[in-house]
Amino acid sequence: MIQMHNVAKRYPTGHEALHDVSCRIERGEMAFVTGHSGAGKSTLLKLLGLIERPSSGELIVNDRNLGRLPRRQIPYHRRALGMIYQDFRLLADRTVYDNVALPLVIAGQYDRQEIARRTRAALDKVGLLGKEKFSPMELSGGEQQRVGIARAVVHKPVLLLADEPTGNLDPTLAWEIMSLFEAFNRVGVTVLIASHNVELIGRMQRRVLVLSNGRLMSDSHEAPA
Amino acid sequence: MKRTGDSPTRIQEPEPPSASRTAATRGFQPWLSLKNYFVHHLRACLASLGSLLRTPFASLMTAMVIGVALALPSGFHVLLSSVQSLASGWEGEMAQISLFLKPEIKEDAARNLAWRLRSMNDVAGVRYISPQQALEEFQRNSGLSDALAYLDENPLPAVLVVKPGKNFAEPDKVRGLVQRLQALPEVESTQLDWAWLERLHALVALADRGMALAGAVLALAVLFIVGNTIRLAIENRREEIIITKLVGATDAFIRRPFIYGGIWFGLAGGFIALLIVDGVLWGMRGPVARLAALYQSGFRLGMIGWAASLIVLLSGVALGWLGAWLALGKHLRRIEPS
Repeated sequence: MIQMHNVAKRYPTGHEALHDVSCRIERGEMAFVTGHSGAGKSTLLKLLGLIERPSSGELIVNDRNLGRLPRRQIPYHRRALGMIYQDFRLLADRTVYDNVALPLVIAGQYDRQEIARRTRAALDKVGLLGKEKFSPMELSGGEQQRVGIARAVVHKPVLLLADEPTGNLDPTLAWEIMSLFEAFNRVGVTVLIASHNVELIGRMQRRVLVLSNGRLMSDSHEAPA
Repeated sequence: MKRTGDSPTRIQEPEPPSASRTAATRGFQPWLSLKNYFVHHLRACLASLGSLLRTPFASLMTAMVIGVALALPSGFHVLLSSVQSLASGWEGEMAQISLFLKPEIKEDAARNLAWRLRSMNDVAGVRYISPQQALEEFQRNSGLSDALAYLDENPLPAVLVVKPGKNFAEPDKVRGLVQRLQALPEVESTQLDWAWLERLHALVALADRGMALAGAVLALAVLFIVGNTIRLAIENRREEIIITKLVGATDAFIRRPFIYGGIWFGLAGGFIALLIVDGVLWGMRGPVARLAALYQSGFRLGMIGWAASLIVLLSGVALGWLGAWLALGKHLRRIEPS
């Protein structure tokens, strides 16, 4: 699913966020990226979602070479992904339903019944069925993050990328969110989660990639449970 | 992608992911993609209308500015074309050549000449005005009757008023006729009574050109108004644009509602322009009819016609569309997630 060969990312300011990172994540795997803040976790996820381009090295995600993907192909790459953010990134002026349905609408799904079916299914998976009409602002942090997850999975992506998905949540909610990711992984979705919550990652017993100052320091290579 | 471990009894389990490129596995379905295309457009079209209606006051203000800018050239165009049609109606009616005969020409000779002229095929009619008639008319109209009474003899010459034939009423042909009449031995001098019509034509042409240029400047103004409004709308929805880009929206998808926003502004502005023009014309109708009655003219101020209305609406739409494109330009590309 993800292949990195000597990937580096330098910003125009000269800051080198990633340095010579090589690794391989198979389809159906669930892995964590960890490290102190500024270690390059977010940068790594940004490269995978093509929010940033790698400066050098080869990065292949879902059979696409991201270093050479034309600009106009970026939307189609992102449609195969589900991205989850620490700050949720929900549209405050739309209902929960509209937020979750957005990827379907964008991808050209025009059948209202199909949109409704899939959106409700996604909301059901995260336990928010019945809150479709709410504004995201009316929900708690944990619920907002679950809306974000529903939006990330509604179009059945092959790869879920989560950047500090539990950063703003208390331990119980964080554990619930992690269980959700495990459930998605069980049905074949590749999941990559960036988190600095070492204690939580330890409990998950999954493969862990440790970044430090932009370098890949260790890779536990644990087989998926 | 393997689909394993998904037992049908566990309803709560998420569904397995679809193939990475769903469309590719479905194959190419031209009918479906065409329908999709139109549904996308319809959706963007209605959504942009909805978002304009959510801020009715601000939207109306923008549409009003566009309306006024479009109303000025189209209103003046209607006035000018009314004046032009009036003037061209007058050419046939009012173009007449006065032949002032030499003093020694007696009435018989003058009537004879009039009879000869009537037989010319580019002359529609000839009227003979004797010196006596001319004097009476002059006394009646000039208010100088007392002064004229002191004159020993009538200083006015006999006059033949020649009306050119309908098919010879164009300036060049009339001028040719005037030259031939001037060459007649009985004729002292000629006067073409339509210099003022030519001046009117020149004035109307000048006003027409002026309005075309002013119209172009105002069109430019509409372009900038729409452009600026759309640019502000883009800025207001910056966060939304970033989020939709993150979930895989193409540039075309993001651009579409703004383009339709521009089109709606242009269309609304066009309607407002039509209301303004028709309102102004309606308001002027009474005074114009009174003025025309004073000149014994049946002149009526025209309303803006269907064709002209359509042109106003279409120019509004075209300017709105273009203005939105100008605003989007490179701007949308600069709004990227980071």
